[in-house]
Amino acid sequence: MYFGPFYFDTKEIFLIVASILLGLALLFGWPLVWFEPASLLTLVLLMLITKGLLPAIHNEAFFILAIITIFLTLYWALFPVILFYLISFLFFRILRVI
Amino acid sequence: MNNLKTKQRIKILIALIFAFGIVGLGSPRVFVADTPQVQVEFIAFFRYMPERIYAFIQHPTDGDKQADLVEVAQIEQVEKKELDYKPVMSGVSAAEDPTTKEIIVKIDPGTKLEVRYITLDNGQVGRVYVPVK
Repeated sequence: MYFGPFYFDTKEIFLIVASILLGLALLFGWPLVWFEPASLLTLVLLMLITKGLLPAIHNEAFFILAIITIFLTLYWALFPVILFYLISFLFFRILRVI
Repeated sequence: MNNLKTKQRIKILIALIFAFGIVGLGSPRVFVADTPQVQVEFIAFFRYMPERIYAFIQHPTDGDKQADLVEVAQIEQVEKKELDYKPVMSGVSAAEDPTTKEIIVKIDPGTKLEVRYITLDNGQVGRVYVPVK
């Protein structure tokens, strides 16, 4: 889908919708069972940035990493989760996944 | 094509397992209580690397002597000040600097100190030197 000169694929649009919903959840204090909206919003924004830098060919690796990272927020604090996300990218690069 | 995809998925799995292991095992040693603040002990490990190498060269087979040399190097050294030092314990005396209100502790050469590590409420690890009687 084109927005002006920019092209967004469905995953990016869903990520943007997710960040808008999380922003609204934070604003209106909607409770999310087990998940913390502030942590999720931070992660989604990080994912949006990294997704913007990755070509669509690496969608599978990105999808698996995103799912596991979100799942880890149930058990770990935000900082180790962000570290996990960044170190995974580093290993993806080292192992030539991306 | 299918083989290539399987290879790629195995690589993704390996990367995720390694990242999980590094964060799970390494993060508490490097960072204070799940914050970006780095542990003092971790910084000290790299800061005193030259002393560590020097200690290894001096006593290549004696681990205790190596540790002693590194621990002595880690004690904060301040400029020698002529103050009225009062004895606290044998080999240890202390005085207050009248201008800066700092407490200066003087340790006589040859005094044996025991190194203890304490963990503060915020997760930070501090080093305490206790004179051995």
